[in-house]
Amino acid sequence: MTTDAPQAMASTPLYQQQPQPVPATRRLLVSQSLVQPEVNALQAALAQFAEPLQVLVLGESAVDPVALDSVEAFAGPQLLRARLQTLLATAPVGTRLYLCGDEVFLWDCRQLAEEAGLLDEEIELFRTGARRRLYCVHCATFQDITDEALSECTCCGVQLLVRTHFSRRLGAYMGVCSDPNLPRAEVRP
Amino acid sequence: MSAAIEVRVAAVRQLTPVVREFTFEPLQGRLPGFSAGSHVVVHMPLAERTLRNAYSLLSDPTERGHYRIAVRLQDESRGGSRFMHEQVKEGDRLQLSPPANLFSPSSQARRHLLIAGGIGITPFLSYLPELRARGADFSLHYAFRGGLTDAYRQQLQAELGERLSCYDAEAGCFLDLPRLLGEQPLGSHVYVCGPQSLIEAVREQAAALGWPASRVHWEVFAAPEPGQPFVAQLARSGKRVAVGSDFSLLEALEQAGVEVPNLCRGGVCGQCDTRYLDGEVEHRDAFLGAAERATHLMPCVSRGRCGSALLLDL
Ligand code: FES
Repeated sequence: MTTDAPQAMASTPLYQQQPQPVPATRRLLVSQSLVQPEVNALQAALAQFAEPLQVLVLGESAVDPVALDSVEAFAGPQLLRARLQTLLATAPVGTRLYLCGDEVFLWDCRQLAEEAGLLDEEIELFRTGARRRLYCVHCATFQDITDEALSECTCCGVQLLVRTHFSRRLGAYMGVCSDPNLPRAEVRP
Repeated sequence: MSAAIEVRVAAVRQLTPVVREFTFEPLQGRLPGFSAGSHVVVHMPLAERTLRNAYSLLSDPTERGHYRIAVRLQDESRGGSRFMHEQVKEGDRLQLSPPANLFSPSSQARRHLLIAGGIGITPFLSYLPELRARGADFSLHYAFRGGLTDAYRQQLQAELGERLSCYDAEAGCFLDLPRLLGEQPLGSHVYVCGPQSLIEAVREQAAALGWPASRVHWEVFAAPEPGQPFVAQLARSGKRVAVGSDFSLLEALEQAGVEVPNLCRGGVCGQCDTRYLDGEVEHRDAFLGAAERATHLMPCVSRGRCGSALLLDL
């Protein structure tokens, strides 16, 4: 069914609260942290599945080694990405990927997973934290923001209005000049 | 619906005791092009009725001069495959509906896992030239009964080598679906064509192993199952059509001169979607959702019920 009616929020990504009860032969959780309560709830939910859970986590998070026997921690995002890539290169269809973190983290990992051949339907996103990514449509620069509605571009200095439009490809919200008559943040003489 | 194509039977070849291959040439002009995985519907003028059965085109899509199909003689045939085997000779003329494709190879797949059961090998024969031209990664798994339903086996062995695995039930060799589907790399798509039981086994096994439906493709060419006779009343034209037990509703409508758009004639493509206003329906399609079934039916497979007149919006 397709309709042409404009849907203001159609591109706004939806995040999950609970993992879907679907079969898989292998489950992989990639998380920005293991210390937030949201992550703990997710881990507990994933522990209900019969298949063993493999976990990759960023930072020297406080990991309870008893509860989780296959947790690998990485000092930086590059190392984590490299490991995820290696794992996915040999993973079979039937692998389910759970990503947990702020929006910037989620969409970076998601893009990598997609390149490795995973489909939308095989990836679940759990958002924690407020950080998100803004894309300046005027100079094509990315910057991280939280929930502000206006932000000055760190590169070209334009005062950007943060649109609700989210680009899945860029993993970012579109930022457009908020006042064409006054493109710069500060009034110039 | 586009007009039927007139063809001449250029060659008939017996491939196995139950499989015959037919090559068709255009009576005039050129044949419409087709893509890998396409089928045509052959119109078979039997004495008492015209049957229309869908068959995969198995020729190379880049060879435009002819079409080729292979037909398996079915035990439970309503006469279609028997007609093709016993009546059709070289030089005969036949009518075909133009090619349609409901089973094309995915453009996203990085690896194509093809699973064929018996005569279900046919759509894959048109896949092979295309997959090779694309330089695609693929493997073909062919299950059959040796000496009976193993059409094209030697040819495939010679062409595909390692990429072909054969499973001869006569030699006690069977497909191991859990293993096969459990070890495919990310980016794989699976395609299955063959008997209903094989298609169901692949779909179920894939689902159980966590394959999303979008990675699983299948093609069925089942003649509509017989059912109870019933009567269809056409609301707009006022016609009354009696549907015999071995006719589908679509066939009975066609016989009565009512054309309904159709492609697969097997309840999967959604083309023949028809609204009904009253009556009980036995839904047998794989297309409509539960809510849609309250008002629509697929006449190529679904039927009314004996004793309750079906009122169609036609
Ligand atoms: S013709 Fe395809 S569903 Fe009826």
